[in-house]
Amino acid sequence: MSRPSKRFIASKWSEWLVPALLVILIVGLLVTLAIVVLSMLHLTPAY
Amino acid sequence: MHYISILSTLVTFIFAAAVFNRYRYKKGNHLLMWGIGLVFYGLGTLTEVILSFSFSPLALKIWYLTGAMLTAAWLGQGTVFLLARKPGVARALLIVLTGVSLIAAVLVFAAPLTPAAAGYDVSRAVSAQYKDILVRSGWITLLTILLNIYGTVTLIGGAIYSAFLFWRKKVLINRVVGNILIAAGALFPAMAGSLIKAGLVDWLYVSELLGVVIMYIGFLQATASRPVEAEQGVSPQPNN
Repeated sequence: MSRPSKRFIASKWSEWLVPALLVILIVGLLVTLAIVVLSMLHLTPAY
Repeated sequence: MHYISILSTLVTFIFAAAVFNRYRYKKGNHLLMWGIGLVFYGLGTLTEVILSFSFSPLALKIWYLTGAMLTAAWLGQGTVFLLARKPGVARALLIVLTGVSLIAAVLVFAAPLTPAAAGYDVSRAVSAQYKDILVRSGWITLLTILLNIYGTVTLIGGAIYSAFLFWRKKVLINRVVGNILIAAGALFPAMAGSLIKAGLVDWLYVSELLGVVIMYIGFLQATASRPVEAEQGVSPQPNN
Protein backbone atom coordinates (compact mmCIF):
# COMPACT_ATOMS: atom_id res chain seq x y z
CA MET A 1 0.00 0.00 0.00
CA SER A 2 1.47 3.39 -0.98
CA ARG A 3 1.93 6.15 1.59
CA PRO A 4 -0.53 9.02 1.45
CA SER A 5 0.91 11.95 -0.48
CA LYS A 6 2.12 15.17 1.11
CA ARG A 7 2.13 17.25 -2.06
CA PHE A 8 -0.45 19.89 -2.79
CA ILE A 9 -1.55 21.86 -5.79
CA ALA A 10 -1.65 25.58 -5.15
CA SER A 11 -4.92 27.26 -6.10
CA LYS A 12 -4.96 30.40 -8.27
CA TRP A 13 -5.47 32.75 -5.34
CA SER A 14 -2.87 31.10 -3.14
CA GLU A 15 -0.29 31.47 -5.92
CA TRP A 16 -0.17 35.20 -5.17
CA LEU A 17 -1.48 35.28 -1.60
CA VAL A 18 1.28 33.16 0.00
CA PRO A 19 4.19 35.06 -1.59
CA ALA A 20 2.44 38.34 -0.68
CA LEU A 21 2.09 37.22 2.94
CA LEU A 22 5.75 36.18 3.08
CA VAL A 23 6.81 39.59 1.72
CA ILE A 24 4.60 41.37 4.28
CA LEU A 25 6.14 39.28 7.08
CA ILE A 26 9.67 40.08 5.86
CA VAL A 27 8.78 43.79 5.81
CA GLY A 28 7.36 43.47 9.34
CA LEU A 29 10.53 41.76 10.49
CA LEU A 30 12.72 44.47 8.95
CA VAL A 31 10.60 47.27 10.46
CA THR A 32 10.82 45.64 13.89
CA LEU A 33 14.58 45.31 13.62
CA ALA A 34 14.85 48.90 12.37
CA ILE A 35 12.98 50.17 15.45
CA VAL A 36 15.28 48.14 17.72
CA VAL A 37 18.36 49.61 16.02
CA LEU A 38 16.91 53.14 16.12
CA SER A 39 16.19 52.74 19.83
CA MET A 40 19.77 51.53 20.30
CA LEU A 41 20.93 54.78 18.68
CA HIS A 42 18.58 56.75 20.98
CA LEU A 43 16.57 57.92 17.97
CA THR A 44 13.13 56.82 19.19
CA PRO A 45 10.96 59.23 21.20
CA ALA A 46 10.70 57.48 24.59
CA TYR A 47 13.94 55.62 24.78
CA MET B 1 -6.18 45.30 31.07
CA HIS B 2 -5.33 42.52 33.53
CA TYR B 3 -8.07 40.31 32.06
CA ILE B 4 -6.11 40.29 28.81
CA SER B 5 -2.94 39.29 30.69
CA ILE B 6 -4.82 36.52 32.55
CA LEU B 7 -6.08 35.16 29.24
CA SER B 8 -2.59 35.43 27.70
CA THR B 9 -1.13 33.53 30.66
CA LEU B 10 -3.69 30.72 30.38
CA VAL B 11 -3.22 30.35 26.62
CA THR B 12 0.57 30.48 26.95
CA PHE B 13 0.80 27.76 29.60
CA ILE B 14 -1.64 25.54 27.67
CA PHE B 15 0.53 26.11 24.59
CA ALA B 16 3.69 25.31 26.60
CA ALA B 17 2.09 22.10 27.92
CA ALA B 18 1.21 21.06 24.35
CA VAL B 19 4.80 21.66 23.22
CA PHE B 20 6.31 19.78 26.19
CA ASN B 21 3.85 16.95 25.60
CA ARG B 22 4.99 16.72 21.99
CA TYR B 23 8.61 16.79 23.18
CA ARG B 24 7.83 13.87 25.53
CA TYR B 25 7.10 11.47 22.68
CA LYS B 26 8.74 13.12 19.66
CA LYS B 27 11.92 14.40 21.36
CA GLY B 28 13.80 17.10 19.42
CA ASN B 29 15.67 19.93 21.10
CA HIS B 30 13.65 22.51 19.17
CA LEU B 31 10.53 21.48 21.08
CA LEU B 32 12.36 21.71 24.40
CA MET B 33 13.63 25.22 23.57
CA TRP B 34 10.18 26.35 22.41
CA GLY B 35 8.70 24.95 25.61
CA ILE B 36 11.22 26.87 27.71
CA GLY B 37 10.58 30.01 25.66
CA LEU B 38 6.84 29.66 26.22
CA VAL B 39 7.33 29.23 29.97
CA PHE B 40 9.27 32.53 29.91
CA TYR B 41 6.42 34.07 27.87
CA GLY B 42 3.91 32.81 30.44
CA LEU B 43 5.98 34.10 33.36
CA GLY B 44 6.09 37.49 31.66
CA THR B 45 2.31 37.68 31.33
CA LEU B 46 1.75 36.14 34.80
CA THR B 47 3.88 38.80 36.45
CA GLU B 48 1.90 41.41 34.49
CA VAL B 49 -1.21 40.04 36.19
CA ILE B 50 0.49 40.21 39.61
CA LEU B 51 1.68 43.76 38.92
CA SER B 52 -1.83 44.81 37.95
CA PHE B 53 -2.98 43.96 41.49
CA SER B 54 -0.01 45.03 43.61
CA PHE B 55 3.60 46.07 43.24
CA SER B 56 6.35 43.55 43.91
CA PRO B 57 10.04 44.18 43.11
CA LEU B 58 10.54 40.48 42.41
CA ALA B 59 7.57 40.38 40.01
CA LEU B 60 8.87 43.47 38.20
CA LYS B 61 12.31 41.92 37.76
CA ILE B 62 10.89 38.58 36.59
CA TRP B 63 8.60 40.49 34.20
CA TYR B 64 11.53 42.37 32.69
CA LEU B 65 13.88 39.39 32.58
CA THR B 66 11.44 36.94 31.02
CA GLY B 67 9.23 39.23 28.96
CA ALA B 68 11.73 41.77 27.72
CA MET B 69 14.91 39.70 27.56
CA LEU B 70 14.56 35.92 27.38
CA THR B 71 11.31 34.89 25.66
CA ALA B 72 12.11 35.76 22.06
CA ALA B 73 15.68 34.46 22.26
CA TRP B 74 14.69 31.04 23.63
CA LEU B 75 11.82 30.64 21.17
CA GLY B 76 14.26 31.57 18.42
CA GLN B 77 16.78 29.06 19.77
CA GLY B 78 14.16 26.36 19.12
CA THR B 79 13.99 27.42 15.50
CA VAL B 80 17.80 27.38 15.31
CA PHE B 81 17.77 23.73 16.45
CA LEU B 82 15.14 23.01 13.81
CA LEU B 83 16.89 24.65 10.89
CA ALA B 84 20.66 24.55 11.57
CA ARG B 85 22.24 22.07 9.17
CA LYS B 86 25.73 21.85 10.69
CA PRO B 87 25.80 19.72 13.83
CA GLY B 88 27.16 21.69 16.71
CA VAL B 89 26.03 25.14 15.55
CA ALA B 90 22.77 25.04 17.47
CA ARG B 91 24.50 23.54 20.53
CA ALA B 92 27.21 26.22 20.47
CA LEU B 93 24.57 28.94 20.21
CA LEU B 94 22.66 27.31 23.06
CA ILE B 95 25.74 27.44 25.27
CA VAL B 96 26.18 31.14 24.46
CA LEU B 97 22.47 31.83 25.01
CA THR B 98 22.50 30.00 28.36
CA GLY B 99 25.54 32.01 29.50
CA VAL B 100 24.03 35.30 28.35
CA SER B 101 20.70 34.43 30.00
CA LEU B 102 22.41 33.70 33.31
CA ILE B 103 24.35 36.97 33.14
CA ALA B 104 21.10 38.79 32.31
CA ALA B 105 19.39 37.18 35.31
CA VAL B 106 22.21 38.21 37.67
CA LEU B 107 22.22 41.78 36.31
CA VAL B 108 18.43 42.19 36.51
CA PHE B 109 18.09 40.72 40.00
CA ALA B 110 20.98 42.88 41.21
CA ALA B 111 19.55 46.03 39.61
CA PRO B 112 18.37 48.59 42.17
CA LEU B 113 14.93 50.20 42.16
CA THR B 114 14.36 53.95 42.29
CA PRO B 115 12.15 55.71 44.86
CA ALA B 116 9.51 55.89 42.09
CA ALA B 117 8.65 52.28 43.05
CA ALA B 118 6.74 53.70 46.03
CA GLY B 119 4.43 55.51 43.64
CA TYR B 120 3.70 52.51 41.42
CA ASP B 121 0.16 52.77 40.05
CA VAL B 122 -1.55 49.38 39.55
CA SER B 123 -4.14 50.93 37.25
CA ARG B 124 -1.45 51.84 34.72
CA ALA B 125 0.43 49.40 32.49
CA VAL B 126 3.73 48.17 33.94
CA SER B 127 5.24 48.83 30.52
CA ALA B 128 4.47 52.52 31.06
CA GLN B 129 6.18 52.67 34.46
CA TYR B 130 9.12 50.27 34.60
CA LYS B 131 11.61 52.72 33.08
CA ASP B 132 11.17 55.06 36.04
CA ILE B 133 11.43 52.25 38.60
CA LEU B 134 13.99 49.70 37.43
CA VAL B 135 17.55 50.99 37.06
CA ARG B 136 18.83 49.36 33.89
CA SER B 137 22.56 49.48 33.42
CA GLY B 138 24.12 49.81 30.01
CA TRP B 139 24.80 46.07 30.07
CA ILE B 140 21.14 45.24 30.70
CA THR B 141 20.08 47.49 27.82
CA LEU B 142 22.70 46.02 25.52
CA LEU B 143 21.76 42.41 26.37
CA THR B 144 18.05 43.22 25.96
CA ILE B 145 18.68 44.54 22.48
CA LEU B 146 20.99 41.69 21.46
CA LEU B 147 18.68 38.98 22.81
CA ASN B 148 15.69 40.53 21.06
CA ILE B 149 17.50 40.87 17.75
CA TYR B 150 18.68 37.24 17.98
CA GLY B 151 15.21 35.98 18.94
CA THR B 152 13.34 38.05 16.37
CA VAL B 153 15.62 37.13 13.48
CA THR B 154 15.72 33.42 14.30
CA LEU B 155 12.08 32.90 15.28
CA ILE B 156 10.35 35.07 12.69
CA GLY B 157 13.01 34.70 10.00
CA GLY B 158 13.12 30.95 10.58
CA ALA B 159 9.36 30.56 10.30
CA ILE B 160 9.29 32.65 7.10
CA TYR B 161 12.12 30.56 5.68
CA SER B 162 10.38 27.29 6.60
CA ALA B 163 7.12 28.46 5.04
CA PHE B 164 9.01 29.44 1.89
CA LEU B 165 10.72 26.01 1.68
CA PHE B 166 7.46 24.07 1.97
CA TRP B 167 5.78 26.45 -0.46
CA ARG B 168 8.56 26.15 -3.04
CA LYS B 169 8.48 22.33 -2.83
CA LYS B 170 4.68 22.37 -2.79
CA VAL B 171 4.55 19.93 0.10
CA LEU B 172 2.64 19.98 3.38
CA ILE B 173 0.39 22.98 2.94
CA ASN B 174 -0.45 22.79 6.64
CA ARG B 175 3.19 23.65 7.41
CA VAL B 176 3.15 26.57 4.98
CA VAL B 177 0.08 27.93 6.76
CA GLY B 178 1.41 26.99 10.21
CA ASN B 179 4.75 28.71 9.71
CA ILE B 180 3.12 31.85 8.29
CA LEU B 181 0.92 32.00 11.39
CA ILE B 182 3.90 31.40 13.71
CA ALA B 183 5.84 34.22 12.01
CA ALA B 184 2.81 36.55 12.13
CA GLY B 185 2.10 35.67 15.77
CA ALA B 186 5.71 36.21 16.80
CA LEU B 187 5.70 39.57 15.05
CA PHE B 188 3.01 40.95 17.40
CA PRO B 189 4.96 40.87 20.68
CA ALA B 190 8.22 41.62 18.83
CA MET B 191 6.68 44.79 17.41
CA ALA B 192 5.14 45.61 20.77
CA GLY B 193 8.57 45.46 22.40
CA SER B 194 9.85 47.79 19.72
CA LEU B 195 6.85 50.09 20.07
CA ILE B 196 7.42 50.30 23.84
CA LYS B 197 10.93 51.48 23.04
CA ALA B 198 9.30 54.03 20.74
CA GLY B 199 6.97 55.19 23.50
CA LEU B 200 3.74 53.36 22.54
CA VAL B 201 3.24 51.39 25.78
CA ASP B 202 -0.44 50.38 25.61
CA TRP B 203 -0.08 48.01 22.69
CA LEU B 204 1.80 45.41 24.75
CA TYR B 205 -1.04 43.45 26.42
CA VAL B 206 -3.18 43.06 23.32
CA SER B 207 -0.20 42.11 21.17
CA GLU B 208 0.90 39.48 23.70
CA LEU B 209 -2.53 37.83 23.58
CA LEU B 210 -2.86 38.05 19.79
CA GLY B 211 0.71 36.83 19.39
CA VAL B 212 0.39 33.71 21.51
CA VAL B 213 -3.05 32.78 20.13
CA ILE B 214 -1.88 33.09 16.52
CA MET B 215 1.36 31.19 17.25
CA TYR B 216 -0.60 28.42 18.99
CA ILE B 217 -2.95 28.08 16.01
CA GLY B 218 0.12 28.02 13.77
CA PHE B 219 1.77 25.33 15.91
CA LEU B 220 -1.40 23.20 15.83
CA GLN B 221 -1.64 23.66 12.08
CA ALA B 222 2.05 22.88 11.46
CA THR B 223 1.96 19.76 13.62
CA ALA B 224 -1.35 18.46 12.29
CA SER B 225 -0.79 14.80 11.47
CA ARG B 226 -2.78 14.79 8.25
CA PRO B 227 -1.77 16.96 5.31
CA VAL B 228 -4.59 18.53 3.33
CA GLU B 229 -4.32 17.33 -0.23
CA ALA B 230 -2.42 14.46 -1.78
CA GLU B 231 -0.75 13.45 -4.97
CA GLN B 232 2.59 11.77 -4.44
CA GLY B 233 4.98 11.41 -1.53
CA VAL B 234 7.89 13.82 -1.16
CA SER B 235 10.05 14.02 1.90
CA PRO B 236 9.95 17.48 3.44
CA GLN B 237 12.78 19.61 4.84
CA PRO B 238 12.35 21.09 8.30
CA ASN B 239 9.47 19.88 10.40
CA ASN B 240 7.88 21.07 13.56
